[in-house]
Amino acid sequence: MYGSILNYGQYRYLKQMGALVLIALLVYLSPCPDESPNGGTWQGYTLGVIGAALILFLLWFGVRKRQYHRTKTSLSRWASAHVYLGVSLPVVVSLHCGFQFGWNVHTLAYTLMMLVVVSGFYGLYAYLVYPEALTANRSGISRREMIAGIARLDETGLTLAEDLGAETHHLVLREVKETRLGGTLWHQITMGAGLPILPHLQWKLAGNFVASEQASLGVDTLSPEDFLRKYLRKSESTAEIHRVVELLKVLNERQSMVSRVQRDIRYHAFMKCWLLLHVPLSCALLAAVLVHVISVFFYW
Amino acid sequence: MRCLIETVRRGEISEARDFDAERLSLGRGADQDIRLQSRLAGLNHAVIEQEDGGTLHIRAVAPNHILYNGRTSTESVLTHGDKFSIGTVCFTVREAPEAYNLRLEIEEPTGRQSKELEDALLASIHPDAELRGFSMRRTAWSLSLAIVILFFLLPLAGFIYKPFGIWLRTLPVVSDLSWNPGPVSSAHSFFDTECNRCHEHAFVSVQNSACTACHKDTPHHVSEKFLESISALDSNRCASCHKEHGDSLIRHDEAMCASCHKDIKALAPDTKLSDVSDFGKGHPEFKVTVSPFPDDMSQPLRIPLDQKDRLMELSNLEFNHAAHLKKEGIKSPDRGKVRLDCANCHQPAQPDGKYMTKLDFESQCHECHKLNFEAEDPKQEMPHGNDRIVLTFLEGYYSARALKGDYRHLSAPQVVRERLRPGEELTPQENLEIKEWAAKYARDVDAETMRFRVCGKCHTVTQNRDSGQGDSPSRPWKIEPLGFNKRKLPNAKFDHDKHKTQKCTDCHDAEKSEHSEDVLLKGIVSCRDCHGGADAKNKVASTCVDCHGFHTSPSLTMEGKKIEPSSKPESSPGIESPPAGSNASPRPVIP
Repeated sequence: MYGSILNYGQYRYLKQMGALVLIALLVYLSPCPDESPNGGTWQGYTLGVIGAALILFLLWFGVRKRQYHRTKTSLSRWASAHVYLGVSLPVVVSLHCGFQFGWNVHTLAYTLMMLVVVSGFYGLYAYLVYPEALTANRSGISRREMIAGIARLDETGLTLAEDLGAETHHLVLREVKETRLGGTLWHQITMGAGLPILPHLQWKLAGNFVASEQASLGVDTLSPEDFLRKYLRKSESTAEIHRVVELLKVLNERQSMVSRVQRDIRYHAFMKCWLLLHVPLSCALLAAVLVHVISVFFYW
Repeated sequence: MRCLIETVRRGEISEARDFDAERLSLGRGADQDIRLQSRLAGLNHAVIEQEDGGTLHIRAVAPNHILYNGRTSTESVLTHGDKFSIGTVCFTVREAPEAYNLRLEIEEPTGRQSKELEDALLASIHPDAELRGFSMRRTAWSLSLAIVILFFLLPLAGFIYKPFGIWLRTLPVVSDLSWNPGPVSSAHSFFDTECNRCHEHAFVSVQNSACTACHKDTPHHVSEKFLESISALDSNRCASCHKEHGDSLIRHDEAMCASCHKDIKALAPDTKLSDVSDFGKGHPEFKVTVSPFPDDMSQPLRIPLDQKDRLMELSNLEFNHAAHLKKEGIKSPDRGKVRLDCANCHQPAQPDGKYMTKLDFESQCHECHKLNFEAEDPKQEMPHGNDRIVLTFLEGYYSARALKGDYRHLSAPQVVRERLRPGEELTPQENLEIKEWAAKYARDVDAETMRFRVCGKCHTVTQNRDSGQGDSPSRPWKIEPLGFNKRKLPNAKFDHDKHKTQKCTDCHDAEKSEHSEDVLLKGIVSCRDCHGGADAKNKVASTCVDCHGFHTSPSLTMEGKKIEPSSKPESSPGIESPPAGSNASPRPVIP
């Protein structure tokens, strides 16, 4: 669907947008005796009516996309028209106002319109880029399946940790319990909600790191790396070392899976965050346009 | 020691047990008070006891240890909020309810079943996680309502209840000032925050009454006579041309004026105006306003500059521009050869530079044009500027000369010709003779200077017939008052100051003019050297209102009131009125 937004009907709406912009330019450039272009000339009123109609049409997309029972006109056709006519809106409205701005409700409406369009541009970018990234990240498995995988790894990890003693189990359990997927929008985007789970532990262990002697400190104050390193230093049993290595493998696999889920959530967040601006600002724009039109004729 | 032991499973209390014992044992063994499902826990792992002071202790039974608040420990005081674990079982000390000494929360060792772990992970995502702390619906409503309230409802309330509206305008943003589409023109800026001076009614465009509330004395577009035939000028809204909150209050476009003036006779058949469409290509030659009567400008004539045979301006002054502007200069009695230019006599009058300064004999003419009249007394001059006292002056002068004697003029009697000897006294007869001669001679000199030299050289002088009655007319000759037009093109705006960079002779043909009757303006062609029509390229694009006004009716105000002649600021703009009290004089007629 994403690909077809832009080239729907052999760029039908790109052509319509071009025609609309051309008409708007012709109206704008038509002779206007002794007045620099502004919203109060006949050209200004004409472009204003076109602009208002465009805004209503673009807003209707929000209603139409929720009317799931209507199938006569496909939603991708609506989306294509929404995108292209949305691109023409700033042109029409800028020509309508003749590039005259001030500290007033009229410029407020213009600013909101520009914010809505700019956020829409981002939305289009997100819809063109992130679905692909999303598919690549999932590589054939669903988010639910990935989460089930994490849970299986947790189970294995906890069982392995239990064999390594209460302290190891406590530490791994803490990791498991405090792992958060998603969270606030900020957390979703920064992937910052999950606990950093033993990152790059293996290569760090391979180095000549001398563990700081923090015996008097509790395990909670030690990083998992330090703890496990310390654990390994005093361990003499081959079977135990084998279990630790197994545990590390599990935890790293878990980390990689958690990252995948977080990336999945992040891409979804990227695809939705712009709507948090786009939709409320669109509604505010409708209010501002109404006030703009009423105020103009109130003090005619 | 009374204890409440709660087992928590997936965040909810699944079991609550009540204990009342001296000590509480925790371990894997079947005999323990709290039995732990963990193979890492000892059979009898730890005990909880209350000391005499009431504090609760947990003590690990050797060789066991517990992880208390993340630290490996064998004994610790239980304080609410603490967490500890034994084997794989986690405990949290909660605040004990009344009548209890201890409340302990045991977290079941979750994580053993992948399904439970999966559910916990799914729960952490939150079904509407992407909107956590942010509601699109609430934000949309808040923003929309804020805009409607701040920018519409509050200003509306201010419009309905004016004192509230006035108060609102003192605040930023929330008033009808936020509806202002652009700055008010500077002419109206002194009331730019009083929207309702013009916008009196809601959804009604600005009415003419709002304009004429202030502009009641503004002259109408045209005279009453033409207003009847061009009714559009009276019925249109002022604001349809004078647009506020825009670039300019005044329309400058040629097309608007030309829409009527390119065929003005179709609208006003009686008009004397010529058709005009564009300054560069469709403008008739200028008509200068001159008067057939130099001292009376009340009936001016308007003569096109290209009708040379009719073109004449009578001013009652003889002046040869060409002679004064000779390239080799003119001879000054004091300074030798002096080269004059226009600025020696003509300067734009300040402050607006539209008019020129008045001519001044003393500073501009007197250096060369001495007013001496008596050959035997070349330094003596008669007064300038008041022809009434010239004869009196001459009578006094010649009486004094005659009384001194030794004035050897042929007409003088013997007593005047002879020098009066010391101690000699004149007889009454001689006195009378001297007086009569002096009076007669003064009149002769007066007539001669008035008619042929001194005064008559520059001024038009006429015989004063009215005062010719009686034996001794007090004023036999009269210098006719000067009659200069202040503006020869009174219906056009022209500012000499703005044209300072040009030479005077670019527009005024002074160097060739030998007679003061000449009209020196070269005509529209000299303007077109620099100015073109509205669409002119490489020239100053000039539209109608750059030179012409539109509210110029001499007889009617915009309110429809007649302008009384006495209250007219200037009956013909720019024409100097004749001096008050000037006598009627024989009027030369322009051919």
